[in-house]
Amino acid sequence: MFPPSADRLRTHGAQRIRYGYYTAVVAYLGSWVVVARAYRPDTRLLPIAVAVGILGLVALRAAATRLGIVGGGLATDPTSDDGRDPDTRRALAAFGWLAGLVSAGIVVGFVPGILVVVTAFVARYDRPRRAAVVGPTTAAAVYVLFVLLLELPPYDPVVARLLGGGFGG
Amino acid sequence: MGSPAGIHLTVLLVDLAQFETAAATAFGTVFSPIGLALVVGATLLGVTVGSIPGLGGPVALSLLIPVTFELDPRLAFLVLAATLGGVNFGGSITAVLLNTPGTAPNAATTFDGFPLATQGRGAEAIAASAIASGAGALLGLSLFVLLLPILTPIALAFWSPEYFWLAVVGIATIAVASDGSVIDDLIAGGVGIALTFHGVSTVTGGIRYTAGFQYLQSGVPLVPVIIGLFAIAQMVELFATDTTVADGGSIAGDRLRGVKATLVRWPMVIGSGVLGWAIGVIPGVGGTVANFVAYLQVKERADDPDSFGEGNIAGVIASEAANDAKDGGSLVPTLALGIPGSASTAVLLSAFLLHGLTPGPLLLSEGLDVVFVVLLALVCSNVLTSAVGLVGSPVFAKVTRVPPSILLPVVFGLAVIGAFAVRGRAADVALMAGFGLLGYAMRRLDVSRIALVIGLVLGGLVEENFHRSLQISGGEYGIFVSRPLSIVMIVVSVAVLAIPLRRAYRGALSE
Repeated sequence: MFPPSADRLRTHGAQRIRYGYYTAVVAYLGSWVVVARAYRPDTRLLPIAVAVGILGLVALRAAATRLGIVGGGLATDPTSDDGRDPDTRRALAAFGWLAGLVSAGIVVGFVPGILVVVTAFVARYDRPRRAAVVGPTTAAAVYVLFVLLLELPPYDPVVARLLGGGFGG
Repeated sequence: MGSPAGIHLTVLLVDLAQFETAAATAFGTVFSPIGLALVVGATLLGVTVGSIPGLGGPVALSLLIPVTFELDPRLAFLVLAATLGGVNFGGSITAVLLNTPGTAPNAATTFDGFPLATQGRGAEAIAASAIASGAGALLGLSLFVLLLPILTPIALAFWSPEYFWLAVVGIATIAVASDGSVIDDLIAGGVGIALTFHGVSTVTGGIRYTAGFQYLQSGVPLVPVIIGLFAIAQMVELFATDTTVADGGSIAGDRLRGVKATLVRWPMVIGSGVLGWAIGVIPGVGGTVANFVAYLQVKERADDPDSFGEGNIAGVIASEAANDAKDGGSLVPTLALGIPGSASTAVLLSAFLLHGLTPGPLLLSEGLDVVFVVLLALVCSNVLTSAVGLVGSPVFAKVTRVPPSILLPVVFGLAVIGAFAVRGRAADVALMAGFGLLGYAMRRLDVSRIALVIGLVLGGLVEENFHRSLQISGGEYGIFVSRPLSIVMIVVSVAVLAIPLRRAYRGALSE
């Protein structure tokens, strides 16, 4: 399905994600066991039991992969192949835009932030003319549904707080 | 809350005249011009809110409670019930088209709904979902009316140890029902449970695992997690692959094929509906696991189990029929006992209290007209959503051809505002972004994100019932294996977890 080099790269990328994922899981739950020592026995009982159980499953998973046990879906091949080849740079760019949208929402308010970022994104990756329609339409729909109809909880963005007044949303 | 015998008597002794008066009042309310207008408006609002990634019944109802507070209680519950009916179907639209369940109870629909959408059969899947949902809901509500007096004692038969085991059954079912590695999915479910341990301990009331962040004291909120894991991760993947949801073929698929597929499988609709309803009767847990259990039993009994997860329409039909039927089941503990049967009915329960109505045996005698309004509004909204699904499916399916350069920023925008809307906390939006990253990694690794969400939903119940059981037994662990119903739950858990081994054995035999 993919040229050999791309396939190898993809497998390599998936392996890195897998190692990163399980390292994070082990670090997260391993730290629990350490932190839990400060808690009362009944408070820490179940968290430690769950953490130890999961760590045991991670060890079982590692063993299943090493021994090549993949029967019945107990453990599957490390690289899933759905026929689509994700571009890591584009994925990172998408997360960059998400970070920009979250930051814009916190700084200037969520409705203005959505207006600015959606318009800029569509202008960058699609056509500027479409951006002029999609950005304001999305912001207007969000305003009508969330602010007018569903009475969104008020939020004063950083800019409003700096200017000494609130303009919500 | 009354005893089972008391409930029996209350239900059975509601005199016929009172029954007729209440029914007439409810009919008059729902089928008045204002009533019908409110049903249509609330249903459409429900479909809209339900189709926004991450939002669902609990969010829609909690946001509507202040709006309906000033209304007459009958009209208020008409609006709330019709919204609930609409939300369920709205959630299945995003589950099919964007691989993003509106709420956890829509999650099993993604297994086959999204693969169908990627094959250009989105409208077919939505049409099948609309018919199965409507049929399931009507079946569930009929069973509610018919079996209420008989089944309330069964809901009360579940004690803390059984609730604990039921949550274990739920997570095991989801790990096995999902594609990919069962061990990976069990780990994901465990991580979901672990996330519920942040914040206030249900045992001691002390604060734990907050790492000094005040934000974590109230625990990890569900809605931002769902939005991040599903909506954000799915959009990033679409953008990274630079493809639309549906690559080729017809844009809409064949609506009539979806309808026919559902009608031909009527025994499956009834079977899944009854199963979903029965699980929905169990307070607290049932709503979340009903669709998975129905999906798994249809998959395991099918001649071609391997086609499930690849775009088998039966997977959509089974999970949607069960999902909508469970609402009729969850009304049993909610209205008859005052114990919420699902997250949505928990919010509905609080709405009853705000209107001065106490759910429980007394509601069935003193507030019977409101109970009938809820039932009629649910019936009307489910019929309406089926019609909306059939007529609108080609329009909805167009989403599958919107290029990621437009779909991603729009969904990101809705996701950000949706994550913020529930609690009004900007930190929830940042949390959603973090779970978006995790969701993308899990998607790439074929690890079930649904298992993590179900763990997060059931984790609180696991811990609460674990400790309550130990309190009841005075610290004796034997309580978890001493009651017959607990044994049944354990056997079911083991049987579910043995399914992959059985598959492997069958595979080895066939080779």
